[in-house]
Amino acid sequence: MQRILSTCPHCSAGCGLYLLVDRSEVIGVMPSAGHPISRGTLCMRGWTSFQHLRRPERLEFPQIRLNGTVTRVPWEEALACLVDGLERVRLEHTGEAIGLWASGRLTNEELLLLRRIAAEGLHTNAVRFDPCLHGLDRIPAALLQGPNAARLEDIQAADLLVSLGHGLEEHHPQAASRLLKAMDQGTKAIVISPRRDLLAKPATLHLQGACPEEVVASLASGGEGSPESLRRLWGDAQSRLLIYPLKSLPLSRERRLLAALERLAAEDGTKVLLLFPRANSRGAFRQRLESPRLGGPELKALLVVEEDPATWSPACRQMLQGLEVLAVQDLFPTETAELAHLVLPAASFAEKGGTFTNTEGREQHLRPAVLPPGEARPGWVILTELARRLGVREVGSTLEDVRSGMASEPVAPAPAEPVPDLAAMATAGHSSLQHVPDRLGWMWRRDTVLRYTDDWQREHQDRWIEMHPEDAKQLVLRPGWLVRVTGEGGEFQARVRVSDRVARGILISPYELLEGPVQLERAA
Amino acid sequence: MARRVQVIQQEAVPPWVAALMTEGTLIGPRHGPNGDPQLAPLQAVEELNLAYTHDLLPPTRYLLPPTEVLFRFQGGESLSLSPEYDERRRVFFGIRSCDVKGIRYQEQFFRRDFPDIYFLTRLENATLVSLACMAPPLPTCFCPCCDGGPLLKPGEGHDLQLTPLQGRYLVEADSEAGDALVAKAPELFREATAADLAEREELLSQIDQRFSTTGYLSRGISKVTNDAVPEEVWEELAERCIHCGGCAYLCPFCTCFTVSDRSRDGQQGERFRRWDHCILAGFTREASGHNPRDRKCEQFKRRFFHKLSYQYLQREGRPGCVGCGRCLTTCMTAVDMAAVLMRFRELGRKPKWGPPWAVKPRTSPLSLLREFVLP
Repeated sequence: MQRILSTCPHCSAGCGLYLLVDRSEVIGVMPSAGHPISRGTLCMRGWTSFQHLRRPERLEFPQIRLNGTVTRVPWEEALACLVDGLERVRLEHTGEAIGLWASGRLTNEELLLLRRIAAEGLHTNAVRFDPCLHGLDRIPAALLQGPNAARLEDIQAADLLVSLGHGLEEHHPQAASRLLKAMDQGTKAIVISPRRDLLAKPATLHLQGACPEEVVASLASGGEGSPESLRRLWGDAQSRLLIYPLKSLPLSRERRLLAALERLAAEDGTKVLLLFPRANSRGAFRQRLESPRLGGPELKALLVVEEDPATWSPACRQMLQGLEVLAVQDLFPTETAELAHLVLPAASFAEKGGTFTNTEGREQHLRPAVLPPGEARPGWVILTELARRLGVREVGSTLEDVRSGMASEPVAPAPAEPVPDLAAMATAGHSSLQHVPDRLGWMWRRDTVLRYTDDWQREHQDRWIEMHPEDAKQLVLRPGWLVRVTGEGGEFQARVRVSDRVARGILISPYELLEGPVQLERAA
Repeated sequence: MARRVQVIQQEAVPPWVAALMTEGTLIGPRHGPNGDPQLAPLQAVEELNLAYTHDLLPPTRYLLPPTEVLFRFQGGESLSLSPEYDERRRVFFGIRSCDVKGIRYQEQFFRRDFPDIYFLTRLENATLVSLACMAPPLPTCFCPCCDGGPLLKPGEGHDLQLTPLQGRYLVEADSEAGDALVAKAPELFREATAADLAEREELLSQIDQRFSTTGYLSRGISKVTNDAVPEEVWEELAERCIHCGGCAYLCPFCTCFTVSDRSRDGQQGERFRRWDHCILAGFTREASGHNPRDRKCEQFKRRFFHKLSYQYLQREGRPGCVGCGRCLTTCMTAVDMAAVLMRFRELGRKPKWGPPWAVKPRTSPLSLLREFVLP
């Protein structure tokens, strides 16, 4: 059993882990005790991160779908076909007819290649890197770099910790673990979350009903309007640290929060730790970013890399179905791949090299431990070949070549147009029940790799909605009953889970981004 | 039967190890990336580093790997099965006493009722050379209070034990396989003298001061056995657990696995088993969907009940913990064995219900532990 040091492919903490390799197969993983992030620990996603590698559903060969029949083709033909398709669309249509949609799990090298393909090969701006960051066009620079941008290790040193999101222990366990251990040592903490989570219980102050952006805004303006207890804690602290998991609020509220955080971080002794959602979301953000126009009627061709937009919304699915060319590069037959004209099999994180930028900006390596199944190839190999065929110059043929282009690469400007906030908070309603979606939970439940991770699936079989026991009593609902949740812009079904961790009148679930008032009825 | 006690000089160890490397895969301590000590197959003698602390992955994971193929199957007209046994020869060199105890405990488990041929085949092809700890390798170690070490007595399952003395190692064989390893390079050894043995005695007399020997475990056993841990305390502890599974995956005692098949076409494929852990809801969920332990608290309680209750202690002859301290390192929320035992210590001696004397265990687990306490 050999150990190959690599990086966890799931969240943005970027734990150092060893791939345990025996007879050319990854049989397990274990954390690195000396790694500054993992420090001998992993969360469930980390411990199970090898389980998707040998799933029988893995894509092994390039496939072309013509008139409903799927044919296995050699790589040469698949790439030629893709290049032909893209070139044809580019010649026949004007504007941003070709789009790229790439995951926040891709390595920096792969993202760079995609950027070069977009800019130099396809001459398009319709690019979306890490759709999990959708709409996040600007993050104040002071929150990412400089003396007020915190690292995970700073949690220990602070004497007041403020956590601004819910389910931190599930979505960002390394940050949660440090927070919890700091509280055990007696550090004061304020937790703002709609549910009394693991961190809320030992916290000095738990603000259950408060909106994080309003609390932070009030603190930034001298504490006006915030509760006395909060102001006192804040005033007494010498070094304060605020932790915010990005994308856990609707876009407009998140923008307000980031602006308020920027003002706060200008003060002395206040640090902010922003937690990006996925393994390389920060790398994707640096490579910038997305075009607001992607997905409009002028889009005719789309290359999707390790993402599954078909599951994001019915509108998205419809858009994909109307495309002239849809190519998917992925590990698994996703719903998007089922719609695609061309499917390219890619290697997983344990089968390729490359780097991830973690949420602190730390660049960490992936190392290939085993060969990909069948004819699958590492993403960067596929993209290097594609780039060359699309006329991108000096692509090189090794990871080093690709990387050498990285330093000199200018960062593209952020798009000038504001991105519409699709999931803005619903305003009017007559129901007393408010649905607060667990947005990061929603994101992880749509994750392709986790969908093919056995133990993760086994633990997340049920679809649930959590409510206060009194609310359940009032609505005559019992735990385990199936209910239909209807709100503005959608509906879904889930089983009732009763817990006094949520406040009265609040419903929490990770299955739909419905925000605001909802109606509940028992489903047949 | 008294076996010979011999001595090898520190500088003679590498040539000896080189001779042992011809025996099969030599799994020994080396330094990996990030300064992580690893018990890994050595490619060269120079990699060997006996001054290591502790490998986070217990050597039991070589014998019960995280994932292993049990057999391959081929369907069609007639079903054919071809089992896969791992018969590679392995010499584990310099593993800690607690890990030897873990291996022997697992052996006992896998021999009972249905002998597990996969585990036992690997074990039969393994030779265990242990390295006694003269001081705790890590601050997380607490082996003396659970009879896990710091060194082994004859008959405790090692083939050979190395005890570090000044500039040399005392080498005690405890099996023929152990003798055979010494016989690989007999010229490197000499008989132990009275001075060598006296030095060992001197070191042993200091061990109690070097290791903390607080009796956390006996108190824990008593509390768990007598149901003297209030439900609220279990709830409080379980609530912190985030179900990562690390404590079970890295525990040298944990033997749980799940069995699954993988096949592309349903005709040809393989059946494999993979490590699993009792704190997951899916671990006990039944086919009907009913789960006898669907609450986090019950799952958590079950783990500690298995490790600490007198019921299991009686069956296994020892508590289910060797004090290796791996769960202390890998637990993200500090609800590891030591933290749980410390929490139990805070509990009053008052029983949950019944008269105060009900708290007294029927048979004192402490007395049982004393039997194990080192000479």
